[in-house]
Amino acid sequence: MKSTRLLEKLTEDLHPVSQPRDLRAVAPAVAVFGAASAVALVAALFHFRGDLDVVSRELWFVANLVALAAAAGFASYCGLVSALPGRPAPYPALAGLQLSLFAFFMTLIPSLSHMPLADAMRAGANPAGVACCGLVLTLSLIPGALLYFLVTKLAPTEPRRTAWMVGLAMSGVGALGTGLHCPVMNPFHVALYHGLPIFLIAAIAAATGRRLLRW
Amino acid sequence: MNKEEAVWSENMRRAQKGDAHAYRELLEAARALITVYASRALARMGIEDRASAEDLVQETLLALHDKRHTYDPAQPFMPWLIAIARYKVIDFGRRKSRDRKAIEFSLIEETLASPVFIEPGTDRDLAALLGTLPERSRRAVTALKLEGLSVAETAAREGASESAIKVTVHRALKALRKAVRKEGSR
Repeated sequence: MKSTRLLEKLTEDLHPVSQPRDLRAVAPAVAVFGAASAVALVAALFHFRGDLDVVSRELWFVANLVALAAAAGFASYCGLVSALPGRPAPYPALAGLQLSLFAFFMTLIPSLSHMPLADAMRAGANPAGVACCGLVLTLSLIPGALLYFLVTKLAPTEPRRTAWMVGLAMSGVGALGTGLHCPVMNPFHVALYHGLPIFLIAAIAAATGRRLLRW
Repeated sequence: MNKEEAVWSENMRRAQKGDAHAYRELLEAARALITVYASRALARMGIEDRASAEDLVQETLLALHDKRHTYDPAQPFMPWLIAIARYKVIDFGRRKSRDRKAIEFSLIEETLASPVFIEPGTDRDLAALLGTLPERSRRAVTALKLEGLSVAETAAREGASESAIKVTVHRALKALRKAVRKEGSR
């Protein structure tokens, strides 16, 4: 049998390996990441926008960025866990988080009720927002490359799912950075040009994941 | 965790620390399990040849070896191994279905390198592929790789220098690789 020779070779090639650090240890880091992001963005809002009124009036914006930070951190955690064979990642929790993000975007629409919908859409959905999409993508490249590197060191047995989560994490970071940078506070603008790229990038990552994460 | 699972997990823990005896014992047991798993999985896909099952077992054992650092000693071993085997089965099935119409380049190289062994059916594809080459290149490849002549003998037969034959064959193989990739991507 051919594999007998293989077993001998593998045994000869054996050397000690370091065991993986339990990724549950990453959870506090994710929490710290989320909290630090929240503090940073509140500080940024104070610094750049000047007064407390803006923060209190645009609470949805703050909540959006906090949710993005949490989602990005949690998605990167899930992506790494899912790249360990036999370890189910907390997919239901992730799905819940994604759904709540969607729900959050949906709640933006009633918040516009004080403004005629067409006016709000016109104000928010202007073509200049395409630059924000580009910024989301640009800012997501470095975290994406880092996560991709980490994941390839592991063994993703469900590459498409892992890639989807890596995509969510990287684009979440990108959207967070874009939110801190972009001066437009229109909910339509945020949902369309900061929110939509998250899911587009994640979908592209999932579509290419099977090839990229093959091992 | 049952007794067998505990033994496997313990052996893997020891293997991660470099214990060759425990590793060999684990590999033997894993091979038996994967052989059954792979045979059943392939049968479900309608592939029932022993060579494919053997290839799959070897691929899985190699993956086990390469990715052994991803096993968490606090977790049971069996789900870890089965997750890897399952991934390899899916990957193998996908590759098989993609390659049904095209010959893998590695197969061509192997086939060309071996003057005696050509799988049934492969010779027809090979002839078609060789037909895409210019006459001079085809003659050189056939002489050198299929008839088993040496470079000097091929050069003498073709009335060319040895280095010219080497270059011709190298270019011909490159063209074949390109043709196979093109065929595979359709």
